[in-house]
Amino acid sequence: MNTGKLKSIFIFTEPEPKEQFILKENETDKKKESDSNKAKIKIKEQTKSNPQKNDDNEKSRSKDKTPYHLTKGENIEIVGELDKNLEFIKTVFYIPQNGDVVLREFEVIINKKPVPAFAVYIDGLADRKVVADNILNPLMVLSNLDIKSEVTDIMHFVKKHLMAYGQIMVAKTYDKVIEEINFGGCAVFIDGMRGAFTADVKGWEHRNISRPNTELVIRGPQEGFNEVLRVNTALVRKILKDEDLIVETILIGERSKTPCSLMYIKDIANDSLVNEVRRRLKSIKTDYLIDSGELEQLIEDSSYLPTPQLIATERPDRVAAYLSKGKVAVMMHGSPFCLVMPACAASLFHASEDSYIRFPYSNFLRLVRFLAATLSLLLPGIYVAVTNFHVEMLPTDLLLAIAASREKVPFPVIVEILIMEFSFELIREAGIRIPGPIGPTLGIIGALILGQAAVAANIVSPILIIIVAVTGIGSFAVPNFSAAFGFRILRFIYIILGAIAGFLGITLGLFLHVLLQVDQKSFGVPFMTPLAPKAVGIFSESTTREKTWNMERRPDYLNTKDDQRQPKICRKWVIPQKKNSSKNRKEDSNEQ
Amino acid sequence: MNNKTINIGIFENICMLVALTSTQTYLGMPRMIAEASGSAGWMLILYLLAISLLLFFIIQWLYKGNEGLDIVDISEKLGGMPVKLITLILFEAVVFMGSSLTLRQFAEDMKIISLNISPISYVTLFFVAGALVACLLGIEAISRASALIVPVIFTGFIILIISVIGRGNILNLAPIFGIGPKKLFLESLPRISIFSGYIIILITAPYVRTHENFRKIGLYGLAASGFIMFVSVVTYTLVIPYPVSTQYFLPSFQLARMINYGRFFQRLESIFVFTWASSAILYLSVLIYIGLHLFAKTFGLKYFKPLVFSFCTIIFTLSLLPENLPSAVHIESSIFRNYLFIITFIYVILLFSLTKVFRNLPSQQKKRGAKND
Repeated sequence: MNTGKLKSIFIFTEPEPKEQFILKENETDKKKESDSNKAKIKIKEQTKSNPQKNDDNEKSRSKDKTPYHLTKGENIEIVGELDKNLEFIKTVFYIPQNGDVVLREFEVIINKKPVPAFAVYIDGLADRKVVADNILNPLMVLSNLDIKSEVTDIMHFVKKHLMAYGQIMVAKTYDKVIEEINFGGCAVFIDGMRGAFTADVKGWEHRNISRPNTELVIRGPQEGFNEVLRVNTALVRKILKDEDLIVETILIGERSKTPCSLMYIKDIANDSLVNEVRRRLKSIKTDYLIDSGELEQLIEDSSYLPTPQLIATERPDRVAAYLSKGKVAVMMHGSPFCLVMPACAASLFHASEDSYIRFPYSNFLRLVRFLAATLSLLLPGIYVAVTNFHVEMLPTDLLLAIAASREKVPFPVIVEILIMEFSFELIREAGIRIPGPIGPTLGIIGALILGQAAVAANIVSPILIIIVAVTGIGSFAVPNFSAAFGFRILRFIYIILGAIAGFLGITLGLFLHVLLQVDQKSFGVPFMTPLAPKAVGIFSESTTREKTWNMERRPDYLNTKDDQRQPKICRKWVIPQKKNSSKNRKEDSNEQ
Repeated sequence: MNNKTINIGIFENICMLVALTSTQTYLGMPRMIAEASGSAGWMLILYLLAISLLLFFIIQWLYKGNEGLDIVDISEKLGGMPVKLITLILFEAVVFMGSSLTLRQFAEDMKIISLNISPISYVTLFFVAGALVACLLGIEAISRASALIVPVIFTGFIILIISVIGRGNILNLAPIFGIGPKKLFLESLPRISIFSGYIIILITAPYVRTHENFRKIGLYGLAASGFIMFVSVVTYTLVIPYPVSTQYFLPSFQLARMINYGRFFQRLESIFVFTWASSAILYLSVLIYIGLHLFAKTFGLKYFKPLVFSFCTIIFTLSLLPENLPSAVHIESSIFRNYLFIITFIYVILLFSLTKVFRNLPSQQKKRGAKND
């Protein structure tokens, strides 16, 4: 070692400057917020008072390459000069920097005079063929025909004679035009027109309707939602066929402007529930909203509780069934999951198949699911508690078997079970993240680690493998993904409680769990209803499955406008035929 | 405290009442009854149930016209702050003694059943933790938890009874009238304390809205508790003959130990820890909440949550005062239970009677008339 290095150990020397990446603040961040607000107000005022001056501002922004973002609510009105509009659109959409924004300039013949115009749309979002055939072709080619009209106003003339397309709107403000273009529309600006035509020509690529990935059933419809909002709402409408089904559109996201649909049946759903959902949706202030999972977290009552307070489903039939009961659904563009609210604990154990199979089978399945959830939650904790504190309750043979299997295992039960549970979680997580073709390999490795290898190495006892396996299978049997996730986390708490105080610890855990659950509400509805607080029809539909012909009323806790689902006797054929009915039958046959 | 938004149903109230009353079944109550009545425990329970139902009938009659008021409001109505303070002191004594003694007994029971080497303070903490969280969440959460847990506890109780009833001997009930019906009746009067759990409706009365609900809760709750106690005492007497039945500190534990079906189903007493412990935590939660409610309401406090930790600490400390389980049992059965009825029944009847009398006085009626005008 040379003396220089040795010296550097004992004597402080200034470190050599190294090139480090520092994320620089952009220009807009440096400005104070108040300044930016003032500037925006100024722009708005200028736009309204002096379009020419505004145009200069736009040009100067373009020159400085400073992007101009419209903030929601600015509502700057479109000016009549095409050049200014063209410049504005180019600035906003960064044309020509943005390669997928198509801006087509052309001339349209109005009253035998050529008038300059341009169309703008985003390639890939809008349907090119529709734009060409229904927008550009009439404007560029058909406008040359001799049109007999006395209309002199450009806007009315074009709308009445040249726009050969159904879904056409006239936008008066820039932000409306930008919103339409961003959502797959095509905007047409014409010189002299204080507004723009926006055509709904959405035509982006999307996944076809396929089987739902997370809610497969043997009996029942096999359709699942995809990522297109209108397709999803149509799937629900297709099932319900009810003119009272309302689909309200609400845009969420200051920048993403993600369309969401609030769905409910007007003469069934409770108005206060609908208003509350609408209020929560409209009050969300965020820039981008990508998936319904984010939306769920933004509107749920409590973020800390282990169980979800909304039901996320990708089955249209399930959404239709919930809507018919009086619940409210929210769909989001770009997400194949629909959120249904309010949720109660019992509904986390329901599957859509329950309605399609005979009621004894569905009740049996619900019981199996409940037991599976209980096993997934408590079995490892109980095993730890029994082996540490309550060995007397094990029959001697079983006790000896457990003792023999643990003879060579060096760890205490709690360590042993935590190792195994962690390994299981590891495999489960890796199994989801791993690329498809390697998946089965991981399964084999996992099975080997969890099974034979771990036992052979005397790291864990064979009985523990059974415990962990049953626990894992139990958690997969819970139909609701979020609820199963909650149980996975809580299981570790129960293991620790079982290790520190046996059944007493687990009882405390269960007591606190129950307390937190009963204290929870989903959109004003107690989460544990109809069990606590007790509601009418405690054992019908919400907990156990009732016979289809016996489900006469909607859930009591939803306080629906119309709580009668079907008459007391919905199977009229069971009513004994009256004596005079033979006469009626004769009449019927005569009529035939 | 904002009561306007809280609404507790009849079933939830009955469950809380049952939780408060029948928890003793898991402690020394069957043994205490055996000591007092020999083989005629069943008759003693029927006597006590009849008397308590009668007293409650009087209480609910006296309560008529006071809908929406709890015991603090009624005390205030009668004599303002002084009466409120008297009520507070008496009931807080019940709360602190009852909860600390029960806490100690259950903790000792758990030590005997499974946590033999754990210190008593450690075991006690588990019960206190449950009650603390419950009180922090409030009466709505406690009542709903009761509605879920009490049916489970009841199911556990029935399973226990069915499991051991086969080992019973009908001859153990003889002599059928024990020490004699008359003597038994006279001796039974102080034991009416075992039905003191009805005091929960004196607290939750504003949340149950109507007098009809108040009456239903009390009558059904007491009847259900009486049924549980009756079945428990009869089974204990049938399975364990008198005077051996007076020797066991933990009658329910002793019954559970007797479960023996084949080689597999033996020594299942630990399973009943789930029902016993949850019953105890629920009992503590309800009782401590009563204490908190009374304290906060008497002094006009807006929130009771800051008091929860203090109350739980005091009760935890008090529970450690008795030297051991026998001394805790002695204090409970010989002192606490013998005088409890004076507060929970006699004082309440006195308070309600005076309120009714003063309400009907011409001067009071004039006052009310002036107010109404």
